[in-house]
Amino acid sequence: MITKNKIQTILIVFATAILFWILPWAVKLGTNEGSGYPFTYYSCIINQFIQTIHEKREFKYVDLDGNEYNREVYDSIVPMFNYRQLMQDGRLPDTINGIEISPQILRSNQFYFRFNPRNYNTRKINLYPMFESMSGRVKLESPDDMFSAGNKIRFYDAESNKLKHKKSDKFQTAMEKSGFQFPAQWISGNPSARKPYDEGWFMLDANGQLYQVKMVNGKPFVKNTRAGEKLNVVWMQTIETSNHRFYGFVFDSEQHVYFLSDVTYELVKLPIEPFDLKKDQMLIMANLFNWNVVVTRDQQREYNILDNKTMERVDEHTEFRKLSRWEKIHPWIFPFYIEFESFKSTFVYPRFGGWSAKALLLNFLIAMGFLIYCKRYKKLVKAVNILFVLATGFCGLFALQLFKSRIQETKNIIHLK
Amino acid sequence: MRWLLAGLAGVFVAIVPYLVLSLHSKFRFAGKAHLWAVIAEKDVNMISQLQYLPLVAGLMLGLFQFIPEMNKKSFKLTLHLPHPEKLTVIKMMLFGFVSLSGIFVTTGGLLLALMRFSLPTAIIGAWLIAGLPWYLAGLTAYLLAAWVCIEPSWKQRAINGIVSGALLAVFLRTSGSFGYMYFTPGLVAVCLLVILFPFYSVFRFKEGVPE
Repeated sequence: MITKNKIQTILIVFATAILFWILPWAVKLGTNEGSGYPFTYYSCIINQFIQTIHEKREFKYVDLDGNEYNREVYDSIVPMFNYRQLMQDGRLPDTINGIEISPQILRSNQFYFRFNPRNYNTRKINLYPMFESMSGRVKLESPDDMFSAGNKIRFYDAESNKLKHKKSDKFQTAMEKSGFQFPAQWISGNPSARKPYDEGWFMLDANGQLYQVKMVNGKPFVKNTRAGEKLNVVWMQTIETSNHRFYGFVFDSEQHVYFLSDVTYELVKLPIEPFDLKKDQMLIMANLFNWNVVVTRDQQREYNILDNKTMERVDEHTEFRKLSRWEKIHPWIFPFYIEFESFKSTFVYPRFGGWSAKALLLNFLIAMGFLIYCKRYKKLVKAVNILFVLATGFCGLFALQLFKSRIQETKNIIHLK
Repeated sequence: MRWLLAGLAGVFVAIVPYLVLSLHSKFRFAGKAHLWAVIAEKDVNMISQLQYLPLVAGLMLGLFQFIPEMNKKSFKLTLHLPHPEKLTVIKMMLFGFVSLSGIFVTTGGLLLALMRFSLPTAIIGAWLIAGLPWYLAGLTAYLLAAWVCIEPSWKQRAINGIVSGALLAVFLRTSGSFGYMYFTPGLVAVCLLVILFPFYSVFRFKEGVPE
């Protein structure tokens, strides 16, 4: 039975939910600030973290002991990050820490790897290019077909939009022969043709086994990396490095991160704190001597310095973030808020966050004020409305006012036929 | 009303060959294989021009159907006819809802069926998932327009308009293919619940809330 009161209740709930989305969004827009973490890089010369701090429109270069350096000194004590500047100035030394260096050696050991939770919390169109890995050409050539992998691997010719039976069967057979169990859970790789070389695709089969699938001289190359036998693989992100040291980074259910070595498929664990790939960000800046593994979590950024050869942690530093104005304000005014979008995911759905009991104090004052107002002006108020305001604060009060019934309306109960 | 429906249907039918021809033109310029790769890698949606069209259609149909009803006081008269009021209102809304759904399903289906000749199922499926919230926004916009128009008081009408705008914004947060993948059932639920909103205004109308 549709009654006015029932619809009114639905409208008030809808309006309250909308207000819990829009008002916090507006407050956040007006008060939010950047994370403010200074750029930090490890000096292989003085074995110390050097931070670049932007202050009063000027850059300051300081180490963690507070020693300040000018730009020229900074370039020379952080040579792995500034080697191109040092080259231009003619200041690039022949050896560092007793190791001979050249721009070529430096370049081959350098890579940047970024992981954002949006890389994992997303879904891609199930259509990928299978490059010829051994084309003999300097540049990779885009294929004239694309494949999808679900219950079967299927190649589709782009020109005719028809299934390529022969090629599909060839890959299907090769994968089944290697023990691949369909359906594939996910596929990871670099679909861009603008990469230095191709190592194909890494696919997790139905049994949790990680396979490498690529095309070599027109033939399928399928190999079980055996990573799935050692750990519960959750995700992998590939990277092409100049020295072909590894295929990419593997994330497991224990929140450990490994790199998967080239050819041997040996898993090497990164000695860092547990990494939550649904929430945390990672940036690896690698050079000849160290890997700067920067993990950014909700409230802190951790800098882990790993020895490039042994992969042992040689130094670490944690930078804590100051709470933004929004983070200081919202617990006092909103008992919770709703967000539809997130920096950590490409999916849109209502997310309830920022739960805070502190806001109940303000809610109590608002509810008391509402009660006093109603008593003073002799307005009818239901106990359930007071409880609603107590729980939802001014969002609920505002919604109640938007869809309030006037006294003469409530006296005159109408039923629709 | 018939002309408006014919016009809306005409626009939705006309956009089908436009989008198909536009896709084929891009194929000729970039090459099919390259365009497939770009669509898959960058999540490019070649039918994203459709995003706001169902919303505009829903709003137009709602406003053009219910504004004359209110202006000519025919809605008031209708409610006094010896015919169940709920059924009357349901029939009025069903007319627009079914007409819009018909246009959306027919032209959307035709578009995807024509594109199926040159695009694989993976891309068609992704675009279908991306397009569902746009069409749901159109249907919801129609119902919300009816809610705003039937409301007798101007003050409440303004409030309803603002709430409607905020509610419709929920449907159009992203044009990414799988962005609404998990929330599409939620959007369907919102659309179905919004069917009740115009009845709130009908109750107030019957109660004789002053303008």
